Amino acid sequence: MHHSRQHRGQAPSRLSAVAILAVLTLRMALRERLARAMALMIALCWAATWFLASLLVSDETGPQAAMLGFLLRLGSVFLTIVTVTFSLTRDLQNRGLEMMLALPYPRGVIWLGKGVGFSLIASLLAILDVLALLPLAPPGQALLWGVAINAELWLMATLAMLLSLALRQAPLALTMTVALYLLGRSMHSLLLIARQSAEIAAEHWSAVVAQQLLTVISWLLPDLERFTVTDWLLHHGGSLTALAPILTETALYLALLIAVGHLELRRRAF
Amino acid sequence: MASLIAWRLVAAPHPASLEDYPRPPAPAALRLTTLGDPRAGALFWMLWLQTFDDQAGVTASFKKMDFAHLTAWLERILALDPGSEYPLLMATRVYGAVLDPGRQRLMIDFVGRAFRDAPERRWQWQALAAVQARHGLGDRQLALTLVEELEQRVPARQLPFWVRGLHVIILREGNEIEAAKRLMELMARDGGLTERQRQAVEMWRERLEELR
Repeated sequence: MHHSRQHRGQAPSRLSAVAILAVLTLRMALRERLARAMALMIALCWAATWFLASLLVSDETGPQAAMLGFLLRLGSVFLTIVTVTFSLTRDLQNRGLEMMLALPYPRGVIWLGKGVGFSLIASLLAILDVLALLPLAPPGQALLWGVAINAELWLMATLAMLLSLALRQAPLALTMTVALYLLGRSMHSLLLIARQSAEIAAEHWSAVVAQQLLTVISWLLPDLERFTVTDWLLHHGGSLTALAPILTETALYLALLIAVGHLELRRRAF
Repeated sequence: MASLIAWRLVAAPHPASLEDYPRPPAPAALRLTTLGDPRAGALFWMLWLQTFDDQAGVTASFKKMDFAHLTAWLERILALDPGSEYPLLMATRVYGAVLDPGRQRLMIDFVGRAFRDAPERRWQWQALAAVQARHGLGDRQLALTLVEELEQRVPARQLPFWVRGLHVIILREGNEIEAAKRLMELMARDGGLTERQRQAVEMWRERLEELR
């Protein structure tokens, strides 16, 4: 590396290194036909919505947009998690990540570069989702929904990165990421069930402990039910103010996940 | 592949059997099935409920289905998305049109309860339930009760002309000429009527005078 520096001048700055790694990560994913997978996912969501809409008694576009939004969200989250998990676990297994870590940059720079690359993939998906929704939803509401799905996908991409690094095995990391996503998405319903169970069990200690435990878990997880609100597509009631808590929560959890990922990377011997 | 197709052709088809609406799960359990998206979940559950009568090898008649369970399903789905009008549309236009007075009454009661929860948003469904009670069920008294409740809970200016006209028609059909006349005087005094609507009110008043 020192040799190449003498011949080619200064090595890229840390910021440039992050950008180069990010672009490389995106290009690697695209080379593996990610674009086709994205197009197929959106086409399948459209076909399913078209079929379901034909069953509706009403011909309003709101319900169609809501169904398409629901399917696109699930499809996009799944595609993002799968892409990140398989890409990173393969890098870990074929020593691609080790080669990157041999570059004269702190491990944090490498980690951030990969993270930005996966976030670009997530943003690309979010943009395609918004474009797919435009024929059925008002542009303003579709755009709000797009910002929220982008935040949700960034969070899930970063979580998938961390779990892939920590667990190293794709099936295990994939299962854990999907489980945590479903838990984050269903936390309100689970809390409701726990509260009702405690009431039915006449505040029996075991039901109360279960409720308290679930409440503590809910503090640790992002409130994903507040993200990507279908109501905006269905009843068009979204406003810019709704984005403030979503973006704040995204920033907090991203900072936490990146920090934990960085610590794990520093701790790990390659 | 050929053996697979041959197997599917010779294999016995699903036995045709009729299943009734199951009891709906608890509200929180139903919410859990929506994966944190109760609005979209309400739509998917509504589509499932709507296609429930088309079962393998048999199309169920609504007259044989358990409408108490159906009503409970509609209530749970409406609770998932209180802003949705789809369960109310199905209750008034589809399930409420079944030729069975008991089942029609269940649907009208469901719409009435939903209306009382959010009168200003759901008044049109209460009005449709009144039409259903009058013409589907032939129960003029129930239709009158529904329309009166509608006018008590929703400001008059928010109601379109046809809803207030419906009240007049039901009163006239019951020979309650004086009550109908008082209502029309109120309508004329309230203002906010277009020229054509004022003419219609005048025409009704003349007809009522003739009837008297």
